[in-house]
Amino acid sequence: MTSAEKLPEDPTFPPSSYARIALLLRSGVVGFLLLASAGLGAYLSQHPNQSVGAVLSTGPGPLVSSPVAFVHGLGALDPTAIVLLGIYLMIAVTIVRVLVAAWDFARGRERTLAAIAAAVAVLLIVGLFVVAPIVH
Amino acid sequence: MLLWVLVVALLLTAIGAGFLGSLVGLGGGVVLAPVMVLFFGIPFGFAVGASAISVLATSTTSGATYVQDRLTDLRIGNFLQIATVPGALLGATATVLLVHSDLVPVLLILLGIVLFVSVPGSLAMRHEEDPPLGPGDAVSQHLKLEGAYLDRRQNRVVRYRGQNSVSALGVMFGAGIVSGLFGIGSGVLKVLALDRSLRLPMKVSTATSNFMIGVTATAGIGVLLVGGLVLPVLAAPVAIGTTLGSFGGSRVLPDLTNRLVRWLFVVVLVVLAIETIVRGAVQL
Repeated sequence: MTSAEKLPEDPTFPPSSYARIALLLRSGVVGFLLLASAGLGAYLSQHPNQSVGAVLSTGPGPLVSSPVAFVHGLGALDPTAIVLLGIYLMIAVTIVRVLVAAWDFARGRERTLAAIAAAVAVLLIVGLFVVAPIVH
Repeated sequence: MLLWVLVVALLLTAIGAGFLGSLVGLGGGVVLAPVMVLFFGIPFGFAVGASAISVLATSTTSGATYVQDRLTDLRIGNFLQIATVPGALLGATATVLLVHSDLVPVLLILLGIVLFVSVPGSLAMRHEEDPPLGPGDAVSQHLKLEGAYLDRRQNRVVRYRGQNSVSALGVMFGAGIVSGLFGIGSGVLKVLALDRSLRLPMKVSTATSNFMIGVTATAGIGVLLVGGLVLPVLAAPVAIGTTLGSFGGSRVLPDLTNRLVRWLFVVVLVVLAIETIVRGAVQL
């Protein structure tokens, strides 16, 4: 279905900006699906008879809380580390999309909105790397 | 129960939750968290951790489609995040302070009552397909919080302009706190602010909320990860399911009427209000 009317163009967010952000999000989704599916499939094939109770009592393990253990896990192709990589990819895509918006606002000379988007990106990074460890 | 059986069950449940969540602007936690706790016996903390990851999945997946279709308002969404993200950080921090406090159940019951009270207002607008194009407040005019989208259902361009942007910021700050504090209700409060305060068309409200909930969830997700509440083997099927479900939902939303989306939202609002009150009452 097509409309005779055309959408008014936003100089700050031209169609190419929308397309770029959509591509970023789509790439994140595809990457997450591939990594999470591969990791989950590998985990289940390695532990075909594992019970839910065993998983719950073990907990997330050091891979989640220790960056060093996570990197070693990835090197060893640990299925849990591969799933985590997918989750981290989605978190990274979320932060990058805020940074992309800040860039678009700055390019469109919208200083207030550019500053807001940049502040949000900083808050997200502070939340992940500063607030979370302190709260824990 | 064997793990693979639970994984399949969670995957199927999450597909439905993701589909609904992408239509009404929520992350799917409203369905997933209670199902995981009540039907599968998963501890509440792990359910909240998996729900947070599912919010991220829903937001990223449906965001890709809604941004492409220009249903998401990037300008308004980015503007309001300055309130939701600090709110989420404050809420996540307050969780630690309030974890042994009697205040949490009372706050949950109050939140449930607030959600219930907002139902009649949403129902009053049930016949409205597009909100009237108002002049906008001073902030809205200064920041050009306005836009347009091509409504495939009506086959015309619908224009809108944000109203009451300051009060919307206040509600968004509250949405962030609630999200960080309880792991629920973030999307529902965002849609309420976008719909009722800013007076955006319902489909723009749910699409923009979907875009924002991922950012709000990211603000609080670090606390959940470091706190050991994200169990990757449980979070993965939930997130994969919501990704598939929200992909389907985001394909359907553009062809729905704003009125139908509002009805769906009201139903979810009532369910969430009941769920929140029950959760609070059980903890009392």
